[in-house]
Amino acid sequence: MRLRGSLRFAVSGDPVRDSLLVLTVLAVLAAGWFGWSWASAAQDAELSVAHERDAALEAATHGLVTLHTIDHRSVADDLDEWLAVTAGDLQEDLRGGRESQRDRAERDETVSTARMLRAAVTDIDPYQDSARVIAVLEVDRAGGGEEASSETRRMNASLADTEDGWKITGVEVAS
Amino acid sequence: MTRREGAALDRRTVIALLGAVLAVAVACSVWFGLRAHELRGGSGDNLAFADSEATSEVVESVSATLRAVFSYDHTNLERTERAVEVGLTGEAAAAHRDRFDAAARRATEEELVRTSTIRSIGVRELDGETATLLVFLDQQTRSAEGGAPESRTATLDVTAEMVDGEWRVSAIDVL
Repeated sequence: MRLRGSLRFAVSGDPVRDSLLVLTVLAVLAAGWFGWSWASAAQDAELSVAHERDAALEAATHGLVTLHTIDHRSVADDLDEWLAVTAGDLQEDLRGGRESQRDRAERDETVSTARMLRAAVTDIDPYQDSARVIAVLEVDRAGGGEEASSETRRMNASLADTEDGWKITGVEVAS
Repeated sequence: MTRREGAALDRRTVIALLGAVLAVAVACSVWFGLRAHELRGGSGDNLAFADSEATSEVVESVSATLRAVFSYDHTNLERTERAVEVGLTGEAAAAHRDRFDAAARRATEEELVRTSTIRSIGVRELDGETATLLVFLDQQTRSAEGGAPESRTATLDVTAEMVDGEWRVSAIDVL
């Protein structure tokens, strides 16, 4: 019979070779299955939107905290960070206002830190690579001869998916 | 070369070959498996925006509920009570009834009309049964005396649950 013939061909009676053969066949099947699973996940449109949503939210969280963080003792680095988390018009504005921002921070000995309390994506367009995020931050400020203050600030941010990942392109305080 | 030596060489070659294929297949399985898990895990469980229809549905439903339960007219307080009956469930319903009793008394005394609108709403997490949302709510209250309406804003952390095919708000936390 044909089946028995091919079995006899495959099974040599050599236990090492035979078990290795079985293991290899199983491993190749497993690789095929995992490969298919990866390929189907990579092409899954829902998963890809979910992935972008989380990436945009993470970028907004990191970006908004960064944009509220400035210390007159490390002002140059802090302002570099501001440019690193932004893109487009906002980045241009920040670049243009860099000198005055630095002077003000040094003059007032500003120390500002922030903590993200809550953030949520309100819109995401994966085809336009754009997203909008609302966020609630706690901002602690000191300096300027004033008493240290802590305030809860509501923000709207727009983001764009650039070559370097999601970046903030616009921010406004949602009174 | 005797037949014996030929067979022995053959065996070594076959074993080496099988071993190589086995190693490559195992490495591929692990790699593909990790990549697939990375794509599917975490992001994939949250359907917010990934399932755009379900996302719009929960946004519309929760927006309508919040607008209705946070608005009242001293001439028609029953409308707000009905909205609470229909839109809220569990802890949110009980908490809101307690708060609304006091608000309703004041509304009647001072002839107040409060209108709430949704400034922004974002879905943080969504699965088939539950959703968590972040909401910026605007409120305007007019009194019988006229004059400028009193405005205020609220930031709400909202949990909604699917009950009998409808989204009901089950928890409202003011941030």
